[in-house]
Amino acid sequence: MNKTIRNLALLALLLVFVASCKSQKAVVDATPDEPEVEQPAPKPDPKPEPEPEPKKDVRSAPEPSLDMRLNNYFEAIANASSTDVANRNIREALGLFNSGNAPVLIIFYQANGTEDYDEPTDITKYLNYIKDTGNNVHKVKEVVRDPSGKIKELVLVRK
Amino acid sequence: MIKQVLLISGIFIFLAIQPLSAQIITDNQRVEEQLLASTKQLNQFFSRFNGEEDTRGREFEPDDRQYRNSRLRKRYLSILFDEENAGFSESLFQEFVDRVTSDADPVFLSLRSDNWFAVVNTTFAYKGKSVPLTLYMQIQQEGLGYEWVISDLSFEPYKSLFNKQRGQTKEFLHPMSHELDFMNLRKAMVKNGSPESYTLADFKPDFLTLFLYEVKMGHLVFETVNRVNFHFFTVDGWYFSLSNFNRPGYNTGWLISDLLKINAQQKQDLLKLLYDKN
Amino acid sequence: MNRRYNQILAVALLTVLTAFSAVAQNAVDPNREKAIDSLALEKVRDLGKYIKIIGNKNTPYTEATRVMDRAEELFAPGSEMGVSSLAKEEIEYYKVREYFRRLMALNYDKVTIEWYDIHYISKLERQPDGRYVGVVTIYQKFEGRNGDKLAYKDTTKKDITIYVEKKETQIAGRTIEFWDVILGDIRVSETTI
Repeated sequence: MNKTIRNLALLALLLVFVASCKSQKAVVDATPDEPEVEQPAPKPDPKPEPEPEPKKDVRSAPEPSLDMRLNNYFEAIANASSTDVANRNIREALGLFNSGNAPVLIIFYQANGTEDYDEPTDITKYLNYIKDTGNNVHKVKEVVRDPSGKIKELVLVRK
Repeated sequence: MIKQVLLISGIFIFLAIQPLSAQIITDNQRVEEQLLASTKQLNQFFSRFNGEEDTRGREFEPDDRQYRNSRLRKRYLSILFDEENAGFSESLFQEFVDRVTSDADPVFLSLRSDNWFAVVNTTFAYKGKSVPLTLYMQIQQEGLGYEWVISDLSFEPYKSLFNKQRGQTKEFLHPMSHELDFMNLRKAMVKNGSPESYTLADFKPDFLTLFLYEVKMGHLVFETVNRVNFHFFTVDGWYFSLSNFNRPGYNTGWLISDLLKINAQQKQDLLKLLYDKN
Repeated sequence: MNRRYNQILAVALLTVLTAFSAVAQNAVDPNREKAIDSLALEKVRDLGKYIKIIGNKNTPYTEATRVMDRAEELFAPGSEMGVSSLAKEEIEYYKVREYFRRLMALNYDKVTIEWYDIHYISKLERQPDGRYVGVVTIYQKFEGRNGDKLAYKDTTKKDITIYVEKKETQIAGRTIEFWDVILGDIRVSETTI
């Protein structure tokens, strides 16, 4: 009983979230009887500031826009209506990375300043994991970007 | 009979943590309640016996008020025995429960307890046939942790293999054999003969060594496990055994199937019996 | 310069960590142990989802093969399934991959695999080589249909070995310590439910 209410609440939340993400880049599943809504052209990314040290990789928390894009992909892959839709999203998401083998670290426990990691994986495997299991349980904690701005390492943590 | 009804309802009330009022219990819920009630692992038997987990199988922290609480243990113990066929009386069981939950000297069980072992009924291929073979297994400390090891075995073909005769009718090497450089050994050491006849009076064959040798040589090939039971002499003056009950209902899984109050002599006799050493 | 300081600190920390890792493993804090339990259970659930995909007749062959590879990655090499039924109580042994292949080849139009919401996680025990081992028990309902007709159904108890080990790996020149949680042998026994 309680579970049903919780599930409904979750579903509602999810719907709100998905709706609010419509303008984002991820390929959102369109139900067949609903005409495809013309997606507004993605806003051009603001011109990147000229990097002071262009040769260096940058490790940081993801800026909000990247965070949202990644989360939208995770969401779209986890809830894709078909393998094709999921695969399309995976291909697109991989475009953000400098390689399909970019390492993904997953923190499953942190306390007293130490972090416990799951076995490291790579981004292709991780996105396929979301596709196969429907598990969208991690959020982005850190990204390492190469000088061209592509992601070369992702650190995730449980939501 | 009344005892059983009481017990079953007791288990039900004890374990049915979801309110049942005016709610239709679906098949799924019924099954899940039964699975919840089942003592699913030996680990869970220990935890329930010790009062170290809640009804959903979640471990208590040692500083939890419920941890090893004797009232909780008594309730758990009431569901930890086979109530369908158990050949022991309720008063005996009550005495056992009082003993292991006594405030002065409570008894807790774990993998690391002393004086318990597993009896594993297996099948091996031997001389072209599938034959039963019983392994006796114990936990021992090794390296950085623990391991299960074979302490003994019982195997019918071995039992009569070394049945050594004694006395007037037995075969022997006569007491003047030495004068002939023991040339008569040729007649003693023959295939299908009884070479055990020519050993010391107190000769005892070591079946485990023989078994290991035959496994190494490929004469004995493991096929499958048929059944596992556990036997406990951990509680002083008591013996009990556990069997796995796979049946419908709430009284399933690893349960006490046998319980005896024993003195030292009875313990020795029982061990002989269990190890098939008669 | 901060980076350099961090590096020195990291190396120092690593040395300390490695030296005390045996001790640290012994004194697993209870919350970390719970997190490890959850991680193990998650891997078991992942396996369940992979099994569903493999058993689903609508899964294209290439997808099923890919998922079998992923499912196999959850296991320690050489892991086996030991299967018994009510009709045949002795254990039959299958390599994990062989078990998946048999599952995929089952002759039903439709296969449904569901998990009961009951599981049990044993304590983690240390084995002689220092790794920890535990057993997660779950229950699974299987139904095979041909057309609308139920052709076969059973409920099985699955006792799944879990190995937990602290390991190190190099990621882009950094040493990452991680908990390797992998599955081992699985005992599958049919229940009377």
